[in-house]
Amino acid sequence: MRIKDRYPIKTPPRTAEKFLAWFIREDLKEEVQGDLLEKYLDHREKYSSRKANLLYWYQVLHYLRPFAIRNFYLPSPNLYYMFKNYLKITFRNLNKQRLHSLINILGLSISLTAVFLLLLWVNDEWQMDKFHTNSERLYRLKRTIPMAGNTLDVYRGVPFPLLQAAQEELPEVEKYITLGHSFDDNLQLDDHILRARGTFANAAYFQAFSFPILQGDINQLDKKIDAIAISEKLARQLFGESWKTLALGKTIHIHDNGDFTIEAIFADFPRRSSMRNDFLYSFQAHLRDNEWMQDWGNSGMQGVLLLQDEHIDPDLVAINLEKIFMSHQEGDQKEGCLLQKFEDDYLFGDFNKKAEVSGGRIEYVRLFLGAALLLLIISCINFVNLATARASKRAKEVGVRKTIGASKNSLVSQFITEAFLITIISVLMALIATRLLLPAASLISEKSLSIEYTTASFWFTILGITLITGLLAGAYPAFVLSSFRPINVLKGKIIEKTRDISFRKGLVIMQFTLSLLLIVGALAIRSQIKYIQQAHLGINKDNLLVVHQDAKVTEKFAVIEQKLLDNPAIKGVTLAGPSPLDMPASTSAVSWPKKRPDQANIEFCILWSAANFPDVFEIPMAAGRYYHGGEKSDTTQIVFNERAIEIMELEGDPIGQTIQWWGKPRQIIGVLQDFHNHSFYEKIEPAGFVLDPENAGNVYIKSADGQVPDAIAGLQSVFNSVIPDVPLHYDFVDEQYRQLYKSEMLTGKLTNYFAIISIVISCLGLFGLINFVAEQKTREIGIRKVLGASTGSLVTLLSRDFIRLVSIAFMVAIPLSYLFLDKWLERFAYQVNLNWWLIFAIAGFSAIALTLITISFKSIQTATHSPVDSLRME
Amino acid sequence: MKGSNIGEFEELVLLCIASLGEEAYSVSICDELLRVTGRESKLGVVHSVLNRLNEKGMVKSHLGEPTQERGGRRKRFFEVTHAGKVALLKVKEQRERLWQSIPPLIFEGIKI
Repeated sequence: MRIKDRYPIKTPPRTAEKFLAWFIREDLKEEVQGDLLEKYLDHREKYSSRKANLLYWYQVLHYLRPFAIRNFYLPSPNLYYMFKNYLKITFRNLNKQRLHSLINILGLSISLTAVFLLLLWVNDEWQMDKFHTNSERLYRLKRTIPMAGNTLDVYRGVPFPLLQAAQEELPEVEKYITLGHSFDDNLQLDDHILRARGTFANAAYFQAFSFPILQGDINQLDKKIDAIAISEKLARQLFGESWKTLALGKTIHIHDNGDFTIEAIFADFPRRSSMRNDFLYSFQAHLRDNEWMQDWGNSGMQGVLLLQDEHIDPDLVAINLEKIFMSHQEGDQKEGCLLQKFEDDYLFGDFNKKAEVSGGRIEYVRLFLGAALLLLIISCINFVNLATARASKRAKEVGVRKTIGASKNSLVSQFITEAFLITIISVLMALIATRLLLPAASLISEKSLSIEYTTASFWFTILGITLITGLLAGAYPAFVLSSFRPINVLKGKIIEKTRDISFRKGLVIMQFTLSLLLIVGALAIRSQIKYIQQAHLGINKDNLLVVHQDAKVTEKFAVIEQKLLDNPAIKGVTLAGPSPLDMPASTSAVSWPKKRPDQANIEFCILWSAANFPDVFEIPMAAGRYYHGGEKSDTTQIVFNERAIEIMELEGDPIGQTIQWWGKPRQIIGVLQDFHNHSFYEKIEPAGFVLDPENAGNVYIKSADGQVPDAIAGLQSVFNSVIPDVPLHYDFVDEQYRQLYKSEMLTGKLTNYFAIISIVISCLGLFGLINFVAEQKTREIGIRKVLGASTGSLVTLLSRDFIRLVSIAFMVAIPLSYLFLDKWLERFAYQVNLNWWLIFAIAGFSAIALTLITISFKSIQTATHSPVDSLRME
Repeated sequence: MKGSNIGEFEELVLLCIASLGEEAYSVSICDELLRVTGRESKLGVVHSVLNRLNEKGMVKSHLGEPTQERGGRRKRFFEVTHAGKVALLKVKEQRERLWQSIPPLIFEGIKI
């Protein structure tokens, strides 16, 4: 017989007992437990054990009476003094363990600073264009174009008659606002010339948007064809401090557009506006000079509609407008329209193939928000790890407190208070650091960031972050620390549960995995960017200067060209536009013999150029020839790129064949080899090249290798001598090209910073841990040394565990990073063939190397420590 | 006197305590109640009544010695205070007065 059966112990059901012990009032506990036990034993004699158990439960439940339930809520009358004590202890601890506290606070501060900067950026992006008072009624009109394969493309350009029709024929639309593409130009007042940015607009621009008018009558923009409105900044630049009395009514000359009279002055556009203009001239003037804009088939501008009130459904308006639009079109593949809230265009500018919003800048906002969160988590993990590892040091304090009568709750609140205090200190330091780093951050992000101390949302955010961080970091350690049983503590028996140790190891692995992900990401992004910038584009953009073709330049071009070529530093001069590397202009008015109906809306990019364009840009001909020099402009011939020929599927030799371009027949005389005419996100598009140097828009100057400064000097002197009244403003073509990838470069830079920060924090954490482990093992090492262990084996002993953790992290990080990066690279039509092995090798190597460096100092120090000293500690 | 009114159950419990003398604690009170009234009351109920009586000042209690059957836990013994005895006598006297004023005829022939 088993002992259990020989001496059966009659105990009531344990759960019931525990439950009773939990809710019963402290002073009643003993007698009630005793009474119930007596009753139970009594029942066990008389009835079956099951019945007795049931009866026990029955009795316990009936003790759930108001008088018997303990007071769960204990508002301590000494709350104030308790907290004073907590604070005192916290500071004392911080002081005692200076190194550890420093590591903690430093780690938290670094990541909080990064978080704050990121949030500032996110906030700025989010607030863009939201300041207009009419924002609920403003909608951008966009055009949808059906393309091959049942897809819909969305464009911002709309035909002018459509805007007019919207206002005149739809009662829901109050007015239309014309949006032009802002350009830089030379403005001249008497002898004063300066460069400014602007475009055309109608009066509604100022009536619907919240751009306050400081002086003058804005309605003149609609009434007078030569009216112009300028910003306060421009007024100051032109007229000095007394612009208020001088500016109105004066005439200024815009080099490419003519003379205008200043009818109104508006306040400088606020920072949070995606549109930036210093001058806005009458839309009527633009219309007069560009009659083709009146055509339903041309989309030369963008537009915004102001609806009558905010409750009107924009989709209904779009449907009605579409009916009107389609009634003015012919053929099958008709273009439609859609309305998007004006403020949404900034963040949600991308559409998918079904004309639904699919992203845009919002993706970067989400990316950065995610990154901020990640950093915060990494440093909270640090905090938790270090706190729990060092728990044994606080054990005695906990034991004593519990013996004197502290409840678990009060201990938990003590440790959470500590965590909060450290968090608050870190937040303050992070705020200071943020303030100091603001100028640098503004530079990198090309915004002017500032901390808005006066807004409620700022303080709420700070409070929220402090609370979340404090709780996240403090909760787990608080519970671990407060669960020490006084008996074990005072006996000196502090055994850590395996569960806690594995949890800590898991945290370290997570930290390093994240850091490795970031490192791999940073390396990969950098590869892709380098690839993009150095890839063979099929066009040579190096050593190339570009100057805007001002009207005066066109006038005297022959002389200018001659003088430039005289300069030995300048190898070539040509005219082309708009931007061969970006080709924004396009047309669909192209027709060829085998054109199919579903190809009706294919857009061909257009480049206006001079005859020596391919020579200066070093683009080889694939077939035929380019235009001969000397002709003013040619409307009978055309040159295409290879992609265009591919699409047209012409039979036989394309050279000599005739196609329709802009409604008139032209003969193909040559085919240019394909070059990238857009960013690497897109495939090479079909393009047509026309000879029209006067309307090309840009002068390109190629300098000899290494003689760029001489070329610039030469250019300046030519300008000074031939057209002294035109200020020289030049750009570098390869610099412009880099601008196409601004966001990628920003992402790349930020990933670099994140990777560095996260590795620093992880190493800080590791450093703290190794310090602690070394301390714990001092005696063990001392004994081992006495028994004859070599320094090497001791160092291995200490480091082995950590290296293993980092290796595991590495193995987890590899597949994860591969997945993420693959997806990111998909957005590029042309991807670099990432040398995965190299990247992983670098990442892994650097991780292990850093780990070793962090560990080495302490472990070597411990291993070489004299055993006499360490064993003497008894 | 404030709070000198006691309910029916309270009265019963007090009487039980008085009759049990030295051995009056919650379990024995329960058993006595069962024996006399046939009502099986739960310990929690009785305990609650005892608490109320304590607050009214009708009983007082003290803790006894720990015993093995109760897993080393002590018992709480109750005894009726002077105020409690007064209250009981009062009730008894009130009942008797009422009984005396009822003609015996009403209860003729009824057996319990």
